[in-house]
Amino acid sequence: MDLTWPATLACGTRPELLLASVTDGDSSVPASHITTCPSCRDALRQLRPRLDVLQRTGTIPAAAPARIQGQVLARIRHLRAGALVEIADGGGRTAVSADVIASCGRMAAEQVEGVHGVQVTLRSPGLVLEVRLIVGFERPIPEVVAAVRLAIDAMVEHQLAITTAGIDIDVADIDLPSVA
Amino acid sequence: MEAAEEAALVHRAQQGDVAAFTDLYQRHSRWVFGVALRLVYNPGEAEEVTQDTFVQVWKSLPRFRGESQLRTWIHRICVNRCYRSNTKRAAHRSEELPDELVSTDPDPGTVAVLRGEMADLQRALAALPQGLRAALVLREFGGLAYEEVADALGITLTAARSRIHRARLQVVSQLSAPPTPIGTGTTGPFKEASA
Repeated sequence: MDLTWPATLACGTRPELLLASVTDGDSSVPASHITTCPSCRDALRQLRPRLDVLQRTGTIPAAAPARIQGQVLARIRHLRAGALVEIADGGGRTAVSADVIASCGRMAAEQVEGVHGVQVTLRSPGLVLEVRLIVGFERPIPEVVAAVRLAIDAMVEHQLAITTAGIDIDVADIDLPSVA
Repeated sequence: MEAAEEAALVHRAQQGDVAAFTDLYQRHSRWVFGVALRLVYNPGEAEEVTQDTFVQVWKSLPRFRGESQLRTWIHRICVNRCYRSNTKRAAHRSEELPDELVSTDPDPGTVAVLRGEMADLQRALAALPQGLRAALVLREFGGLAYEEVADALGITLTAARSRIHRARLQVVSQLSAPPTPIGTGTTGPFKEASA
C-alpha cells in the first residue's frame, strides 16, 4: 500500500522537507519543532520504517563484481598500446586503428600551404595527435601551425566523428629555398 | 580519501600509469556500479555501463582539470551512459539480482528479505521521472552531496535539492512497510492508498 500525503501537514510543514530534515540534516524544519509537533511525529512514525528500507538497500552492493575490473583494464591496455581508439556511434562499440587516425591527420596537414613534410602519431591516454612538421619559407610558421591544427581537427571530426583532446605540433625543420 | 592523495593518483593516471588508474577504479567502482544498478535496473547492463564509464574516464582523464570533484565527474559520465543505455532499450527490464550482489550474509532468510526490499525499491525508482530518479540515486547510492549532485547533473543547487526531496518522499511512500511497529497506525495526515 502506498502512502499519499497532503502538500503540507496540519502544522504547515511540507512532508518532503520533514523527511529531508531527518535524513540529510536539512535545516528547513527545526529539530525542536519535529520533536514537539504531533503532526510531524505521526508522519515520521509512518515514514521511518520505509526510510530504513531505503537506507538499508543503499549498502547494496558491497562491491562491484570483480570481473568488471579485469574487463576495464583489458580495454585500457588495448587503448594504451595505441592499437585501437574507441569511438561512439550510438549503435554499439566501434574501434578504429590508431594508424587510421594518424593517416587522416597526415592527409589534412599535407593539404595546408607551407607544409613540406608531415609525421603524425597518436598518444594515449586521451586522443592527442603529435605532429612533426617540415615547413616551407613562403608562409609565417605560426600561420602554418594554426592552419594545420584547424585542418586536422576538421578532418578527424568529419571522417571519424572524433574530437581530439589536443594536437601537439613540433616544427622539426624548415625547407629553405635553394639559392641558384 | 585525502584530496591530495587522489590528486596524485589522477596526475599519475593522466600520464598513463595503469596502476594509479586501477587504484582510482577500486575507490570509485562500487559507487558507480551502485548508481548504474539503480538507473538501468539490470545487473548485466549495469556491469556494461560501469565498464564503459571507466574506459571513458581513462580516455578523458587528460582533459580533467580538477574543476569539479573526481567522483562528481565520474558520476556525470556514468549517468550519461545510463541515459544512453535506457534510450537504446525503450522498455526497462527488471531482473532479479544475483545473490552475490544482494548480500554476503550466509543466512538465506536475510538474503531473501534484502532481495525483496531491493526489488521493491527498484519498482519505486522506476516510477520516478528520469531527472528525479537520477538525483535521488546519486544522493542515496552514489554518496554525493547536494552540490555534487547539482554539478553531476548540470542543474542548480536549488533544483537538485528539490528533486532529491520530492523523489525521496515519493519512493519512501511507495516502499512496502516492514511489519508495523507497535503503537503506530494509519491515523494522522497520511492515509493508505491502493497501490
